Amino acid sequence: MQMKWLAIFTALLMVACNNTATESGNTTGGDSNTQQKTAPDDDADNHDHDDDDDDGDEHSDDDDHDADEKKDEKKDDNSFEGEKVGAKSDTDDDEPETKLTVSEQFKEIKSEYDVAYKEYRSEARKAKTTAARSALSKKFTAVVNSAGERAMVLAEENLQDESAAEVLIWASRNVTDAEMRKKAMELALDHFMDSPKMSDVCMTLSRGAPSADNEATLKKLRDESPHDEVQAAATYGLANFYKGIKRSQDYAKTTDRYTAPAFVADYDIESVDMEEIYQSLVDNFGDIKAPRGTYGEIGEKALFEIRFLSIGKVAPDIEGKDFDGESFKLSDYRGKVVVIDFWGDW
Amino acid sequence: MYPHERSLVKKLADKPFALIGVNSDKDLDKIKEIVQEKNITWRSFWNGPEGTSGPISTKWNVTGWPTIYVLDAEGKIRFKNVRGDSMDRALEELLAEMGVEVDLSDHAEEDDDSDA
Repeated sequence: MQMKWLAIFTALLMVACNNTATESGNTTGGDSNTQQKTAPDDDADNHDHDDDDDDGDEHSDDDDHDADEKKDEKKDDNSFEGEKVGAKSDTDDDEPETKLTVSEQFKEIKSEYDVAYKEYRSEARKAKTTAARSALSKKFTAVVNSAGERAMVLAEENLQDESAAEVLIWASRNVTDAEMRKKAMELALDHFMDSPKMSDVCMTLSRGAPSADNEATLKKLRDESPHDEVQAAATYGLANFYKGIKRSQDYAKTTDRYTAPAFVADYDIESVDMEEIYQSLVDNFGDIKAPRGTYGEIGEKALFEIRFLSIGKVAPDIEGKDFDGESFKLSDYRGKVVVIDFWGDW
Repeated sequence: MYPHERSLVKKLADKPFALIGVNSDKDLDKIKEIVQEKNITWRSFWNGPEGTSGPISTKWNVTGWPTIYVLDAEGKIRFKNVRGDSMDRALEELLAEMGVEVDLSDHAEEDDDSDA
């Protein structure tokens, strides 16, 4: 049960990391034995990006859909939208858009996606065979495609409207088609660097396949955004970006089957002062609310890990109780080689 | 994971080695059942009813599961997140430092056992 569930989530996570786990800084490689799972609560139903944490739940699915399917779905969508808007006719496509604000139109697209996502998640969990899961995924992909296309049209027609930022950012994180995600991201960066919504972009940039562009954009947002929240998210994003590179480099060292992409392999990660980045989260953005807790808390925890849980440090003692309520300590095992395994059966 | 770990624990039973879990399942009764069902023979700290937000994993800044630390006899952290073969090699190396030679290379076959 654990493995089945993990497989589904891992598949989603891998795709969220720009479709190739091996290129991603967030997963340590394509080997399922090395994939970590996040806390069960994170995975439950918070695909909405506002709640994402750093191991997150951004959703998209694989790209192997075909054009015919897209077209078919598009037709259905037009009728769907027509019903909702109440003024749409086949011959007069532009009219309804003038009646609803960009935000309102986006809300409809998003809610259609959300419903389909929820349904997909619940059915995929019940599905017993790979074929059944694949069929569900295909069905969901079709909905995502049409929602994505409409979101892009909406955003591109309204680039002067601040609300389009939200639409593009949503598309850059949720749409299935990698090209479309890329285009959405580019448009968002071209037109809305100053938007407070750019916090969400930082997470995407830090999780995808690491690139010089992503790093430069995160630095730009950290240094130039007028919003503290965005600066904080970009600082944290940079930390995760570097952490991902380090993890991939380490993984490549120990695993013959995995070769890090050139950008990752060549990156001089030892020259990055992670303590300084996390200290800046504590000092400059301590009170700002992060996806979980505050950036101050995130910084403090990461600093603790660097200072006391790095290779070569004596591990802090653990005092606790076993499943039968009996107390014991990690230091009871001094004198032995010890494997500490943080595990969970979910 | 379980079969590999079970096999390690068995193989290194008379060696200066311990596998210690820190379990982050919220439901104590349920995890006790799983321990029986899956023959988890090693001892674990229970991270408490808050599960993944419990005190031990929070202090150790664990955000992904499993997370692995390997300590030498002095309690020093020597490896992180080694799994399967690389865990075996790490253990061989650390035990060798203590003058204990072990060969864990035939583990691999047992790793393929299904967890579920």
